[in-house]
Order: sequence, then structure tokens, then C-alpha cells
Amino acid sequence: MLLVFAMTATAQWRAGVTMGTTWNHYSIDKHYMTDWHYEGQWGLTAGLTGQYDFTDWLAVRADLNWTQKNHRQYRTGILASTDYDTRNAYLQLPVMASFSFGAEKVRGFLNLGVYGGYWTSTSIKGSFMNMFTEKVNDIKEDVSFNSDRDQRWDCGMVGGIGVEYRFVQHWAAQVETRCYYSTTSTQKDYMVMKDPKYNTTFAIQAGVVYIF
Amino acid sequence: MKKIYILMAAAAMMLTMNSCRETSDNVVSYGQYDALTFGVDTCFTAQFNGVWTALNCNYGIWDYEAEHGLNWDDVYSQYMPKMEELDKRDKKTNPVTDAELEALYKEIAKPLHDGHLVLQVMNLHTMNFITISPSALRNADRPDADLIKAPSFDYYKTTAAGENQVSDYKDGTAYPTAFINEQIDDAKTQLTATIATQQAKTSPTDLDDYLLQKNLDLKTVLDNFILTTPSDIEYYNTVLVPKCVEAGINIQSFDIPDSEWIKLEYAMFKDNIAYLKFSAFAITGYVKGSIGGTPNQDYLADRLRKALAQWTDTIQSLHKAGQLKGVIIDVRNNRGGNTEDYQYVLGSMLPAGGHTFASARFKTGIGRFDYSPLTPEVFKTRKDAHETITEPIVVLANGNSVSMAEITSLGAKSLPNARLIGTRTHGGLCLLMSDPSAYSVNYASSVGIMDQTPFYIYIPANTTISNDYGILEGVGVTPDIEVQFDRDLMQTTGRDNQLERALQYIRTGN
Repeated sequence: MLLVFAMTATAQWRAGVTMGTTWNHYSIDKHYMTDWHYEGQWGLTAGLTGQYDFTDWLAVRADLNWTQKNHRQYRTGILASTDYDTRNAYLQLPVMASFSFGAEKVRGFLNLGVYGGYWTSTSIKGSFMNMFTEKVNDIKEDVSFNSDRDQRWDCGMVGGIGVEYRFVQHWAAQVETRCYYSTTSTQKDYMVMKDPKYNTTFAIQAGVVYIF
Repeated sequence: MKKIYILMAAAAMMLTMNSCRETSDNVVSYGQYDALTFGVDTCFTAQFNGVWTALNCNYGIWDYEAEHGLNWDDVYSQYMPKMEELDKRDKKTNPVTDAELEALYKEIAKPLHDGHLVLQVMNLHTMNFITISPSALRNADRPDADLIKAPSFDYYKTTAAGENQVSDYKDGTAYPTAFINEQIDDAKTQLTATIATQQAKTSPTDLDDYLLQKNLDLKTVLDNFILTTPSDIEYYNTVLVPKCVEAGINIQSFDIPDSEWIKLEYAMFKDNIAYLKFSAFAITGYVKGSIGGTPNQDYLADRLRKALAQWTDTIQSLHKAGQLKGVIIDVRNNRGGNTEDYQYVLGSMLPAGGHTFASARFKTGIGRFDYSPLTPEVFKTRKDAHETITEPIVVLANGNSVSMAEITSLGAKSLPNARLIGTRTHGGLCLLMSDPSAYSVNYASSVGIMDQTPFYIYIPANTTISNDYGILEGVGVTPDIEVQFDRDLMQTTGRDNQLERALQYIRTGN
């Protein structure tokens, strides 16, 4: 009680907006499909942030963000013309403990926590070779989810480090690098055989917060 | 100090995050015919596991099967215990019979809708192979399932056909019977002339009499020769041809071509309705000249090319003259074949640039629902200068019209001036690659080797999805005008009621 009282004595709220870019790594076991290749792809992230400071070094932070977790897949060999990006959009809610340190104007911070998310849309863009017609087809389309296969709920761990610059009394700018480490496969356990696939998403984001 | 502890705890948490992720089960490649993949000849459970997994990873229409209520995981849990029971039986004292194993695998395979799918398993106790075709099981009850051969066209070459009599006919059959019968007819003509010369001799010697009798005997043999089985071709090559050559007759032996043989007939009805019937989509090799090189192969290719050219040229000339009444393409009992053939049949009457009425998807992962995006399935049409045929076109099909015959049927249904007449097609429109080594191109086609590996599965390389009707596997293409084949009419009169319905449609528009 004493600790909580001591904390609330310096408590203050913050609210802000963030945006930035993401780079997603799709962890997939190709098994015997060795001429298929998967690479990470850049995407975007944007969101709202809220923070409650317990002390000058400990806070709890929650974001609500829209984040892309994209990847590229392509083939080598005789069907090498097949090459397309998959763009996945998630609505995420990371909840983190935020540790800060440093001077009053410029402070570093470390966020650690968990996140929950929901896969809102997926689309593909690129080219696909139909080997029967021997034609390379441009593809750009939204992809419907398969309710038997696709796990649209996502959760995992999140961590990030950043720097905050308090440029006026109530306003601060932040730059942060963050990692969303999903512990939920993007596909459900729908077969006797297991074949999980995971996203690991790195974000570089900047934002401004208003300190009440 | 407290901050440091918290930071250390957080770092430890991050380092242990990997344990939160599951790893995939190990799945072997079915493009390898090695012991790891197919070394399952020791027990029925391993064999079943291989069959189940190969289908799970490579079969193309699991979403379609799910729509029909099939859960492949349930099949695993239902049949694995049964395989375990088989493994408990002693190979010598209580062996698993072929009938037992066949019954089990028929239950497993029968719900699968793919029209090309073939499953073969080795009975590990008897070492016999059991082959199952789900589409054959499914179609066995259909009225036209046992119609092995396409209906005869002979009646329509006679005056008895009346208004349905053809005014022109060309046999373009690239088939050994055509070549060999023509050789024998020619040999008989030569032999008759030789015999006549010998018989005209006024004072023959003993040798003359001997040679005359020998030729008369040979003439009898040639008169009685009927080509019905492949062994007759061997008899022709090894007995008849040497005897004829010995008698001084000019005759060619028959070199069996590598490619498929094809029966093809062109006809023109009196009122300018063009007709084409052929047994398989195996035209391209003959047209492009990749089949040839020996006298009989050149002969067969030339024969087919001429009949096909007559069909297309006559259609074009009549159309340009405004005299074409319509066209009938007969793919009844046509077993399918090469997609390239589309340009020589229905595609020969359509605008250049291809005909698209379906889409295709391919496997992109081992998961049951891991499919590529849909891409247009463009079937080739005639490239050189020609006019698009706007007169009525009828495709005649039945339950034994398979694969490319069904694609042609589907193509016809997408054309405003074409109708499909007959009965529902076989139900196998997905495309395949005939080369077993092409497995890794689309991670489908042949899994294992027929009659060699403990199991073998023939799986289509893509999923063909009609733009208008969706997936048609196990269902087939439904005719616009359904006409069941009247066997009695054919047997008693030689008349083909399905063909006559097609003629009626072209003549009346109904």
C-alpha cells in the first residue's frame, strides 16, 4: 500500500500518436518445397498510445496500432517468375511495462510486455507463373481468410527500446525500435500433422505524446 | 538496484521466448523414391501413414472435399486403428487378403472427388498391387458407364440415313489398323495380279505350279487376316510381311509409334453440318510433326493431318460462303490428353489469343489449404488467319468424356453459339503432368511409381475451377440438352440418337 501510494504520488498520464515502418520475418518450415523461398518485407505501422507513469522510472503503457506483417515468397528454378508479396494487416494492443532512465529532457526507455492482435486483412501482389499456360500472371488481390486454417487471433511478447525528447513542458517526441514476437501460429492446428508458421515483426516508429 | 533486477528478468524472459513456439512435424518429399519415403513395406500402418500424408500434402481440392463433409483427419483416426489390426495378423498363418485390403482402401478413397485420382497399394502379405480409381467407383452406377467405345458412325454413311446421310467422309485414324489394312489391301491387289499372270501361263513348269499354289495360299491368309489385338500387329510384322516380301510383294512393316494412337473421323452432312469425332486429344504430335520418321508413322500423321485440315478448311470455306449450317464435335468416350490440342478442335473456330473460361491454382505448401492465387487457364486457339465461327456448335459428350474432353465441353458452355448435348461428363477436369519426374514442379502428379513402390498415387498438378460453375470434380459438366444414349436403337438400326439430337438442334435451334 505504501509503495502504491508512493507511486501515485508522482503519477501522470500521457497520450500520443505513433507511426513508423515494420520489417516482418515469417518463420515457416518449407519441408521438401526447397525451391520456394520466403523473405521478410517492409510494412507500415501507426497507432495511438497511452501511458500511466507510476514513478519517474516505471510506467505502464498500452498502444492500439495497425501494423503490417508482410513477407515475400518466390520460387527459383523453372518457375522462377513466381514472386509475390503477402501483405497482412493486424490490429494490435500491446500492454507493456515501461522503464525509463536518463536526464529530465532526454530519457531512454525500455518497454516489455505482451500483445494481443487480430488479423484484419491479407492481400497479395506480384506475379505467378501458370506452368500449363506458360504465362506469367500479374496478381493483385485481397485474399479471403480460410476459417479452418487461418488463426486470426494473435498474441505474443513485445519489447522495445527508445529515446524520448521533451521539447516543451507537456510535449515529448519519441523514437523507438520494437519487436513483436508472436507465440501464436498464423494457422490453426487443423491437421494431424503440425505445421505452425510465426511472424516476428520489428518496428521503427516515432511519435509525439502529450504529458498531462 | 531494483531497476537492474527488473531489466535482468526482462532479458531472461526475452531469451526464453523461443520455447513458446512449436516446431513442424517432419514431412518427407514424395519426389524421392528412396527408402525414407517409400520404405514402408514392413507394415500396413506405415503404408497408410504414407498414403494419408501424401494425399494430405499434395491433393489439390481439400476445401472442396470439406464442403462435401469430408474431414481428412477423421479418416486418419478412423482407419489407423484398422491398419494396426492388420499389422497384428501373421503373414503366413492369417494373411491379409487382397479383397480385405481393397475394401478398406475403397472406403478411404471413394469420397475423394478428383476425377483423375488413382491410388495403388501393395498388399504387404501377398505382394499384389491393388489399384483403386475413386471416379470409376463413383461412376459405376451411371447408365453409360459401360459404353467402352464411341457409337459407330457407319449408319450415316449409307443411304438408309436419308437426310442424315453424310456427303463427305474422311477417316483420319492414326491407328495401326488403318495403316496395316491399307498395306494388306495393296498387297492383295499386287498378289492378285501376280496370280493372274501365273495362271495365264500356257505351259507352266512344276516350279510355276508351286509358286502359284504358294501365292494362292498367301492370298487366303491375307483374306482371312483381321487386326484386333496388339499380338496381331506382331503377327503382321513377323509372319505376313516376310511372306509377302518373299512373294515379291511391296509391303511395309509397322513400327509402333511412341505416341498415342488416335481414331479420328471427319464427315460433312448433306446440309453442311461439319462433324468431327476423335478418341483422344493426341493431335498435336501428329500436326507438329513430332511423330514421324518411319513410313507408317509418316503415313499415320499425314492421314490425320489431312482429315483435320479438311475439317477446319471446309468449315472456314463454308462459313465464308455463308453456307455453314453448324458444327458437331463429338467427344463421347474421348479419354482426354494434351491441352495443346484445344487449338485444333474447338479453338480452331474461336478468335486467336486463347479461350479463357476457367482458372487454375497450384499447391504452395504442405498444408491442406495451401494454394496459390487463381490464375487464368488460357486454352490456346488457332493462331493463323481465320474467321470466328458464329454458326451453331454442338459438343457431344457422355460419362466417358474425360479431362480435355470435359474441358472442351466446358469451353463450349461458355460460348453463346455452342451447346453441350448428351450426358454429364466424367468429372475430372484438373490438369496433370504425365512425366512422373515432374513432381517438384507443382508438388503433385505422380507420388511413387506404379507397380513398384509400396504405394502410388496419381494426383493432378492443378485445380481447374470453372469461372461459371466452380470446381466440377466428381460431378462433371452438365449438358445443356440431356439425351441418354439409346442402345437398342443403335443395336437394331445403327442410329445414334444423341448425334441425331445434335443435328436437330443445329437445324431447328431447339
